[in-house]
Amino acid sequence: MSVQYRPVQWTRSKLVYDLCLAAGVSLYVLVYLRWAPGLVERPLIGGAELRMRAFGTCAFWMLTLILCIGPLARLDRRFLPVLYNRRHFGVLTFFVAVAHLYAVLGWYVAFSPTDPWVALLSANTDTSFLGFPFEWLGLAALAILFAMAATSHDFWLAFLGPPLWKRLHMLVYLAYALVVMHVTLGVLQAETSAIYAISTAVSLAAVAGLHLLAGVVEARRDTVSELADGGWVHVARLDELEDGVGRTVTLPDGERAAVFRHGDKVSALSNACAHQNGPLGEGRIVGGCVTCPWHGFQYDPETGRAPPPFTEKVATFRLRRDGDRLLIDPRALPPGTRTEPVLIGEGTS
Amino acid sequence: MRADLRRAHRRVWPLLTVLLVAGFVLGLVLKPERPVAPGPVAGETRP
Repeated sequence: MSVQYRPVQWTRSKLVYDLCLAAGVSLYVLVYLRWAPGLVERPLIGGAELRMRAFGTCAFWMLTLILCIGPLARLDRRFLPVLYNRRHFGVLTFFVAVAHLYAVLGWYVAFSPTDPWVALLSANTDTSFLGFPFEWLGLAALAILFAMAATSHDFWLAFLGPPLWKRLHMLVYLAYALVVMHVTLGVLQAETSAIYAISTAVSLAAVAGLHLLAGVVEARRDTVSELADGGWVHVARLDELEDGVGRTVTLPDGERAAVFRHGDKVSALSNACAHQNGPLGEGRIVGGCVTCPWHGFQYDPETGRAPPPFTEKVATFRLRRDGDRLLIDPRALPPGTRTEPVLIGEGTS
Repeated sequence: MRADLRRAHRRVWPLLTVLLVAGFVLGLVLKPERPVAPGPVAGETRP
């Protein structure tokens, strides 16, 4: 929600978030370098090889955590603060993965007269499943992480548009798949310790399990409500609406609307935030505005417009009451269109 | 107006899970009994 370009709009929460990330990475690498020999590694493993493993496993776990944040936040709102600055987490993961590559080039091919990149990419030329050149998989994943880190700023979000930007950043799933196969066809083929196989299985179970679970829970919520006369859709009974808290309703065309009670009024907006398509219906009213749970973008509940000087706007929906029931017109109004709120005071309709 | 991308997530993950689990299990099942030594890489003269 910016009106001018700034590389990073630092806030206290972002600083704390980034300091925790930097401290976590440093601690992990230091603990790994100190304690891994003899526990998860061969006691005589060399320092360069150990650094390669330290940064590689660190990047793998960081990617695992990043992928768990999304479904966790969808299952439980208490994880939302971790989601806010997830892009910082992703950029740091890219740099840790680069440190892994740097350590690989500095060890396996450091003593070779051949060009390091040629040596790296020709180490495995077997076309069988297990002889697959797993280094290519890691480099492909790194290329995706680079593309994501390079386009992580809001400038690129505005330049590409939220749908294209989001689709580009969904490539992180492909990156994760490439990393899992990079590990499986690489280190797991040579490693005798079971810790690496178990770690990979735990990561896979956590990432896939959480995404599948979140999908099942949301599919249950996604059922279209009862239709009333004229194609209007039943939202809820008026006494069910909690002040200041959003409610999501699925419309017959598959779109979703976010319905908010603000004081004695009820208004409805598109559920997709103009910033990153975040779920507005899971947000709250803060300072009189609907506030997106992902990054705090705000909208006037009656117009769908961000408060000045911001210019974002989302579609609005007409509402009406039928006795004690609240109905919504599923036909969205153009973004930023003012709508009359439904009043829920006594005797008002 | 755009729907959020959660339905895309719901379509992607069942297939991705099957592919990932299959790749991971195959990689472990077909793993040679004797561990493969890392490298050698082209022209390597590692001490």
